[in-house]
Amino acid sequence: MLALLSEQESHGYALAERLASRSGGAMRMSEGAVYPLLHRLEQRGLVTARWERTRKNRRAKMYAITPKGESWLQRRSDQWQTVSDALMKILQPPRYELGGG
Amino acid sequence: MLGGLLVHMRRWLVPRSIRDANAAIDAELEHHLGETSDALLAKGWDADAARREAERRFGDVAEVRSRLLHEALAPNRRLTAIAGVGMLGVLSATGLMLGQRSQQLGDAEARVTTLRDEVVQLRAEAAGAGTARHIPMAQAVHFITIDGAVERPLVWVFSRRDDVTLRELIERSGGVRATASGRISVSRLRQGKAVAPRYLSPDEWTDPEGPDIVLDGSYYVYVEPVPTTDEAASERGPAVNPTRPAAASLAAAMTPRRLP
Repeated sequence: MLALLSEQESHGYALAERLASRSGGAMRMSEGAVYPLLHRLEQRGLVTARWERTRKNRRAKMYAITPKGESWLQRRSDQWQTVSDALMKILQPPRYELGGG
Repeated sequence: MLGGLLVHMRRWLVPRSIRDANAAIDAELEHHLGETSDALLAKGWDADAARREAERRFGDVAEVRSRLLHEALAPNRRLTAIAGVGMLGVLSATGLMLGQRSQQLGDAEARVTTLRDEVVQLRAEAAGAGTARHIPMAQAVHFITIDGAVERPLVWVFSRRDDVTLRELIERSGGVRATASGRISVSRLRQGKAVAPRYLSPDEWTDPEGPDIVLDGSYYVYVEPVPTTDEAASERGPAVNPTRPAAASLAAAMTPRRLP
């Protein structure tokens, strides 16, 4: 969610849509599940929210990532990358270079 | 006339923080459901079907709403013991009065429901603040459900002076979800302790023709979680946490747990 918000400010509906489409449908969950998560992120200061009136005259709560959220996202991304790299090394068979001569 | 009175009473009785949180949550969820409905309408769905589909995709709207309200109020627990108990007493009495009136005036039902939810929230708030043990038990029936999906107690408070049966209570309370609940235990409250528990299995209390229990005083009513397979297999023994209905601390049973 933070990764999506680091790209652009969004409301919950758009985030649920982007989450499903960006993951190729693999991370499709009940759409309502995004809201408790967003509210907890807001309480932890990782995102901030403001209200705006949409073109359809609905009140929409727009979420944006905060500097603290950016920092948290960066740390988690690095951790995930490290774990992911390690797993790939384990899953892929080693490639042996043939020496000359 | 009553509707206007209810609105004024609600404004006076319910803390602004709860009203504001409710309004913000309603607006946010309505925005989501409206956007989904609009997208479906654009694909040729009719309005009613689009709304139903939007709610289906969203999941359990009431559940999400309840969780968001809990989250919103969690860092803002400002109820003192005296203020909390006093407010609960007033709201409980108001809930009783409004509950009785709502049977005669159907249009008041929605507001009664809202007020009841807020009583629930305040009761949980007081429990979280450790004040629940100070709340008088006399003339009160505490209806507690454990929602298996949320693992957080929901507390419904009723003050009654007339007899009511368990089924009437469940019906007036908006019902409980059979899929998320196990058996019901009903214990008489004596000197603040739950004694002589009686049990209704899920099959019994979801059957409209099943047995009923007259609640003619103060009772502690508790909906237990669905038993696990192992517990269900040993039906002869105390099936589900037998000490729970007579829990030493009612407050502990009602203290909301933080979700992970």
